[in-house]
Amino acid sequence: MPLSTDEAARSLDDVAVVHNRSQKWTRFKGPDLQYILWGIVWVVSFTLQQFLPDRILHFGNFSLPLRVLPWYILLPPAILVTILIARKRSAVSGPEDKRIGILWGVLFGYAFLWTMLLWPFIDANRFLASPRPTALISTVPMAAYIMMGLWGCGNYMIWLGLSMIALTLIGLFLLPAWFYIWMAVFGGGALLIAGIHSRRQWRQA
Amino acid sequence: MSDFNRTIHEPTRLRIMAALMPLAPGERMHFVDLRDMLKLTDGNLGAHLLKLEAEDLVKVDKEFISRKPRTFISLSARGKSEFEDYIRVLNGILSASQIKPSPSRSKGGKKPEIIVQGVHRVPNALKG
Repeated sequence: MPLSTDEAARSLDDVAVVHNRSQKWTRFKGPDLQYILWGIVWVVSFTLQQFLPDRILHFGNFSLPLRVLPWYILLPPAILVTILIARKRSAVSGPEDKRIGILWGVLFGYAFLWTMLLWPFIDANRFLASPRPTALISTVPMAAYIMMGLWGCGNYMIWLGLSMIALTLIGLFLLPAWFYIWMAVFGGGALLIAGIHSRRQWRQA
Repeated sequence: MSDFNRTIHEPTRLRIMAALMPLAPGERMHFVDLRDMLKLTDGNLGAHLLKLEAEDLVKVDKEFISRKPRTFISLSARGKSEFEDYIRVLNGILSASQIKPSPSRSKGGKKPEIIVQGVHRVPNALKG
């Protein structure tokens, strides 16, 4: 039996709606919670970094600036939860997953390498709790977002990465005394907004 | 005009195919996400997938991840090609009849695009 034009139009409408919903579902489900998680980590850690006293903690031979202690406490569980979200919550899995994991490893490995290379020439305790190295490390995940966007994970990731790098630099150069709270509000805030927006995108699709 | 895949034309199976179409090569969608996205039950989705798999239109892979079984769905090469043909036939029917497009049912009034053989196309029914 031949298809009527109404039936064809209805079918195409159905296809378009589901296709659109699927694109949003596959692009935003998973990253949404990761953005929210890291938004919370940034807001909490940067706020404490701004307001904690500028003291050095000593643990035997090991010393650590009190201001970066929140990062040491929050980063390991946040990384673990991020990996779990990526493995368990994403709507799709594919060959890109491993590639993206390697990208993050390479970028942070590169940042770690340079920190180690510079270590003998710096006051290590001050280095970790200074705005410039903090700005450098904060832009590493943004570089990863940009590259993921270029690989087709969503153009919004390019804009998220670029705008957060720009905000980081603006805070660093214009408000150095308030850099950490700037990062808490604009960096952490941007991640939270990205997370909430992503969540709405796939849930309302 | 009637030269299209009747298996795909069934509304639920058409939605399943449309949901799998945006996946990149090598990507697979989790069964649970496909079920939730299309608001189907396990049994309903499973039955339609069996039919589509029997005709080599989709691939169903079952794997154990952290000792838990997970099912992944993707379009087969034949499924992709049949779906593209199906869309082409429907577009042909509408073009031939010069039908006035119906308003998009997608949120925000945006016109969703369907990618057929790498070309971004808006279904005729959504043009205008």
